Amino acid sequence: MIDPFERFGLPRRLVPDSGLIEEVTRKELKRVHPDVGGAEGEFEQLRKAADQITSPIGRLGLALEFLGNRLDERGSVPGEVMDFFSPVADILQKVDCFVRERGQAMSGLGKAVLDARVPALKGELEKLITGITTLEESYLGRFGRFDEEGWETCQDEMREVYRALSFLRKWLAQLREATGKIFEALLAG
Amino acid sequence: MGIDLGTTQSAIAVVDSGFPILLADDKGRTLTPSAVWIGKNGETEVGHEALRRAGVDRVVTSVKSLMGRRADEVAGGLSSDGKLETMAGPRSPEEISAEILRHLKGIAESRLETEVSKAVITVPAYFHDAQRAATKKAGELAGLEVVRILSEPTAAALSYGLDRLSENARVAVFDLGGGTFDVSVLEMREGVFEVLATAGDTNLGGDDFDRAIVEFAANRLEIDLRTMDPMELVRWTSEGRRVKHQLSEEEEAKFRLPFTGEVLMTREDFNRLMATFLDRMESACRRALLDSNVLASDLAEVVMVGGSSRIPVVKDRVERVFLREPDLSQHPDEAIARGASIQAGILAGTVREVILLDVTPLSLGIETMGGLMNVLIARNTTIPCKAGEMFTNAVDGQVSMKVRVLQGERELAADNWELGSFEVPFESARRGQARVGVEFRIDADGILSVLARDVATGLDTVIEVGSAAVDVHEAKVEQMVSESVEFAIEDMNARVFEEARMKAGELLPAVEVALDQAGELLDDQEVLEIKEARKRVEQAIDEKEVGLLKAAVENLDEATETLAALLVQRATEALFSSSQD
Repeated sequence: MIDPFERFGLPRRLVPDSGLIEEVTRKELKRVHPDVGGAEGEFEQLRKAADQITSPIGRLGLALEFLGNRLDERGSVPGEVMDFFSPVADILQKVDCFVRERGQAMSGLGKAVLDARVPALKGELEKLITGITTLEESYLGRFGRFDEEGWETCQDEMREVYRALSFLRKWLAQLREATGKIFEALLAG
Repeated sequence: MGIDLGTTQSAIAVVDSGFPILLADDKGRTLTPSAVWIGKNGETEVGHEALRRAGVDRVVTSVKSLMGRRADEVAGGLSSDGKLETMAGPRSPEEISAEILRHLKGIAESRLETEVSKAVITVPAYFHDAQRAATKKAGELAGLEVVRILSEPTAAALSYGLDRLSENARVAVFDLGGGTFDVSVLEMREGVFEVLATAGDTNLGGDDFDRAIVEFAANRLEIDLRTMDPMELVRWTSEGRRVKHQLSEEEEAKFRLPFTGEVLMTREDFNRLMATFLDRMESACRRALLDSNVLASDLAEVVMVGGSSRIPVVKDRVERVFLREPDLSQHPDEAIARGASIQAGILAGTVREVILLDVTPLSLGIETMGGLMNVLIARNTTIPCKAGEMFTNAVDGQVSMKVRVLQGERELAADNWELGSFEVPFESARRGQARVGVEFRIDADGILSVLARDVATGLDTVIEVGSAAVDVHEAKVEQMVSESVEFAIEDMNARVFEEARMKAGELLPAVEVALDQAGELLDDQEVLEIKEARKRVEQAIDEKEVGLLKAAVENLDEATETLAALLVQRATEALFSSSQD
């Protein structure tokens, strides 16, 4: 396993200089791409490292590993994160139900009545996405302090934030996927 | 050189002093129809010459839609062993495509006055593994070394972006060709062209629109297409295409065939035929935007290529989805070949300032217990890429294990495209002791290779995927056949009644809800009609009379068409107005 910070020559910080990571990783990836003579497998490996260091949660994970932690998404999660658990599960189920019924509908009017539910579903999805994104940002806002006070000191808090972000990221992906499913069902005619 | 191997036409380009140019044949034509005629003795004609025989002799066109497919997927297109009929006997789609490629190679060699052996060939972004592999094989049959299989929208983006290298921007490429449709979202930064997401439909293109026009005309002329002679159908189709072209320029066109009759078609008629196709395109566009996490308003440009991007109603829809007037600066028929030649230049080292990062369009996975799909490489992952999975023996002394490889986005394994299956070999060992790591690698062509590594022995084996696919397919056909026999001996009347009753069961409550929600938008007469139709359905259910119920349900379905459209329109407006910003 390569250390992405070292590999790309980037300072070990959770909050990078704006645009620096993208610039450095892009340059390196361009250099090792198989089309310009990169060695077999090198690009894939570097790509993974680049993806990891480009995402904030990826950097947090690297920091925790660097401190000797095994990454574990289990463990206590703040209440403000768990508050999203039921609403997310609920809306995902509603969307699945809509998609299934929409696929089985036989008549134009039957489909239309189902479609009339869509704006409400979409509204709920958007509200949740906004809520989760806001919470995610508040966690990312702590990164600066972790850098300042030193990772060692903040370890416990960092672990908790890592778990929180893991949940939020997973939910965001699921909510976006659900939005996509609605579009597809709706436009399938 | 770069080759655009299109459904209806193909083109070839090379990079000359850093600039891509199309190569023309000896009559100065840069586009070669993708048509192949093979005579009784195996003599072959390609392109314009072959097309001249269409409607008289058997000419193979649109072979691209058959590449890497199985007979059961393309109704009537292929024989059960995957061959096409020509006058010189059966030929595989790869062999036919190879003729087109050989012809293009000939054009290049006579233009450049030198032998050419290396080529980049483009395929629709949404082509799966087998379709890409078949295209590569066609190139090899034509005596070409295929140095890269490149996605068409990506090629178009290269062509678009080559003279905009200083710009950092995100663009969408909308590529609607003769038989396939792709949409990709890309980011261009400092010479790196990175595809963020791609979506599409490998069975949607200009050919479908021609067919819709033919059906429209046949309907008006009260002619049954199913009983039409194939040569006659070829003439109809080419007239349909002419009408389509005319309707892109003018408000109306006449579909006219000697000794048959004529039908006047307005652009309005044509647009109506296009509605469902447009919805499918929109669905793909929205999926690509969602997957790339880019809002339409973040895009700097939406570039339209492909012959069918000339159709006004397509342009309108693109404008509506992407919230901007599309960029039509790229030649719709030439951009892809140009882009392919740029990629050829990158690989040859003559184009240095650009590099391309493409993605795999479909998720790759394996079947797990319970028939589910376990995704190993998610769609829109940058290629080349790889993923691994560890396998172990379930019983003592087990020597191998069968793994099915799938491509697609559905949860159930059976709903996805099966690439094939392979056996993971185990060293004889106690249960759970044998360990074999299997590595799935998708190369820069988007083609899969599989490597198994025995953890204990460190031995690597390259695994062939695919051989078992045929068995599965035959089993499937058998099952379908036996099901259809059962169906035949069932009481047809009972079945029809049950179907009609189910549809009524859906419609009756829907009428209630719909009238409640949007009834005020209808006039009294319309409401009255719906209520009467509803009453007839309710009576027919009581009377248990098959024909009566079926007719009453159909009548109610029709009577509620306007109401349904109003509801859908309202929902769609609410949905898209909130999703745009």
